[in-house]
Amino acid sequence: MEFIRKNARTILPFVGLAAVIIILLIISGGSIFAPGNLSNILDQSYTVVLLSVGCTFLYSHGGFDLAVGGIYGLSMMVSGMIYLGGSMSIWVALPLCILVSLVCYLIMGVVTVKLQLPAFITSLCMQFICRGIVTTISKGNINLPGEFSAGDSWVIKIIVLVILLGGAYILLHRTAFGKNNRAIGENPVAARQSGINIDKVRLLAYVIVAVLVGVAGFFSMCSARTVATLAGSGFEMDVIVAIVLGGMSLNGGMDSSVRAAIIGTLIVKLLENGLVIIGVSSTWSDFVIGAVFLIVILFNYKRNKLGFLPR
Amino acid sequence: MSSELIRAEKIVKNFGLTKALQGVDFTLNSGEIRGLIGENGSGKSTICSIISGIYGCDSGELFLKGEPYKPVNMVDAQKKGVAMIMQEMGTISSIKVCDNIFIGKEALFTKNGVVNRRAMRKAAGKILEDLGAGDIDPWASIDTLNFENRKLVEIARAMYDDPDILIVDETTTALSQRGRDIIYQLCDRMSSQGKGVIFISHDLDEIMEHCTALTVLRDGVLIDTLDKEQMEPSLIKSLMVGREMVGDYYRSDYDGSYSEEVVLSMKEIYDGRELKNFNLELHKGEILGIGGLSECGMHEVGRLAFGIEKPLRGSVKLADGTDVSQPYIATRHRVGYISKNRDQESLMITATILENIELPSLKDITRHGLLFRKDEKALAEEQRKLLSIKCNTVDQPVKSLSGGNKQKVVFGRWIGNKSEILILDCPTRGVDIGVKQSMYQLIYQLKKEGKSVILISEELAEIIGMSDRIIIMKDGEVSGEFARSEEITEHKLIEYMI
Repeated sequence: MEFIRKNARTILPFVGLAAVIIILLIISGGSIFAPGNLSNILDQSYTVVLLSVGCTFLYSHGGFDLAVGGIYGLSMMVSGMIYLGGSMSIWVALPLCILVSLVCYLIMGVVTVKLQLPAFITSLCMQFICRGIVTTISKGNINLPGEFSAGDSWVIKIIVLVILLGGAYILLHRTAFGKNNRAIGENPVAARQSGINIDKVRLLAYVIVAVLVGVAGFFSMCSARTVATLAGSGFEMDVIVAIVLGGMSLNGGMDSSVRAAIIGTLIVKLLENGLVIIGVSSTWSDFVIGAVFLIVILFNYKRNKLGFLPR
Repeated sequence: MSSELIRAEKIVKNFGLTKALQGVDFTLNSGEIRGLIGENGSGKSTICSIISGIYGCDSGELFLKGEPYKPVNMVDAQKKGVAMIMQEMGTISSIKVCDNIFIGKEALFTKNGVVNRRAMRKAAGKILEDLGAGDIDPWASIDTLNFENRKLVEIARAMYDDPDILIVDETTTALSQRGRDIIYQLCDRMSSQGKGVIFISHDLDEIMEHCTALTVLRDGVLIDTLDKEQMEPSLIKSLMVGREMVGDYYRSDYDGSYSEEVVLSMKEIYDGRELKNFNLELHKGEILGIGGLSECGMHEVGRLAFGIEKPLRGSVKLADGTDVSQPYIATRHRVGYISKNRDQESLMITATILENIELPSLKDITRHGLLFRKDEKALAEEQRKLLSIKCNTVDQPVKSLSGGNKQKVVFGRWIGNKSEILILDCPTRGVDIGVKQSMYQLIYQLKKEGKSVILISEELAEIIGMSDRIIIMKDGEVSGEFARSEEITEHKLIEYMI
């Protein structure tokens, strides 16, 4: 019991995930895990997992990212248009996506870190800028040729996912950079006075999220074979909800974890998909997710008063 | 005359696995100024927090003037006549002094929904006047006041309710003589009115001079209560520590020698505020004490030497010519710094002991680009043993530790980082005698190993007791410099301070 009390913050998201799975299984009579739908869920989760894990690096040092959906959309649109403009291998689109995302994140990172503006504001601006560029340059959705289905292979996607998530885990939890990044979220003054080069660490976090967002963009292009002008809109909210449901504080700090981003994404995506499968209209599924989010937030902020979790 | 004001019976309070209070019986009678003393973690702040409604207790009962008393929170306790002045800052920033004094009581001056600010200002002025701090302008913004005056504003707020019991939690440590005198007078006044004061302090002289009785706590147990006649320093110290104090308190030698080699130099520093043209040289194997009044610029010297702030003119250089412009450059060259605001600036308070200790040394324990739990644990355990940090495990959050043990964690961080130069800004502030003694031994040990220490302190006794060389500062300038000798007294140094 003592163990459960002490680790409640780690255990609860797993319990939540299990509860969501069981409830949906019972209500849907098993149909949410039918092979066809399972690959649907995986498809929908794939992108958001990569984005959430990337953004974890920003949230953990006390940052904020409202631009992730916009940058994701822009990287796809720009590399898609360049691809259509010349004849080349589809694999060129991968570094292109990463490059576009990197440029956006570095601009945002330098403005946030060096000019010391709140990440909330700079990322909000970046979101608008990206969305603006996308609609201006594209004049509508673009369709990609069938060659892109070469990248739509679950073998490749799973291998890439394991490498990226494993790499992110090691970076955040098992390296000096990861510890420093989380220490900044915990107490920036103490982190600086402990000899951490705060600006460098924060900028590096922007580079990491940029890579993950770029990769996510490429694989979305492969599986959808189309880029919509609105692609990625609202993903920044999915990421926030996922991180919180995963049991992480939006203020960052030592408790931040890659695990939280993964579990959280699965909960959000299962809920979204499951609610549709059991016949709840998609407008109501937003309502349910909002309500769940509110309950978790309440619990997170008031847990001391509830006396359930240790202080 | 001596009727009972508050009685606590068999109070038990645990914080997780830490037993803060183990069945404490405590009685305060009217007219008493009761000193409360004990090492950090002895439970003196905890018992006061329970009486003033900040925490509830796990078991036990409280009686206020014979009636059962269960304060729900601080406001409730204040209504029932128990007020507490906290160790840390308790004023609200960026509003006026009078707003701070009457916060939550604006209704007293409200007519038809409009607050009569002039009446409020006048009333605030009167309270401050009564307190003996009439020079504080009730109309000034609280941010323009120094720490001491803000503390006095907090006291004024507490006194407006006319409490029967006033708890003063280590407030005097950070105050000048004037602030202290105001508190002492207040205590005497309350005592003569048949009210009661609980006075927590680490300063034995202060307690012996001003308290009518003294209660000693140790490890959550009430050890003894002494009358004024029984108070005697060596007895109190042995009651607190639970054994006779052995060895020296400060270092015992008067050999103030150190190497000629300069390891850190500050030249013609101008910071636009306190320091105009400040020069300093720190030598290898030297303990350099810097003393002065709290506003004299000595704390800024420490911050500049570590690169936290940049001088507008002048330079801070290490032996190899490195310019110390950022803390990370300093730590890379094995310089460590302990801030006087430990909880805000040094520690990650909700992170674990291990995470706090290893922070500057992560690069040192990285192997093949990775951190291994085994190495992290070894580093933290080594410091825990070396400094005998009182904890259950190194994976326990730092906030569960007492003040002295928190400070040990900060020391451990820099010793673990093999610091060659340590800049200590009030390292023993709010630390009890037992831990203080071990810190002095440690600082002396570091000197003998050839390390250099800058010891900035508001406690002259500590500077005289420890330093090879003493610098006294006044208004941002060096007003006196002394080599270690037996002849130096506090009186002599104070002349250079004011």
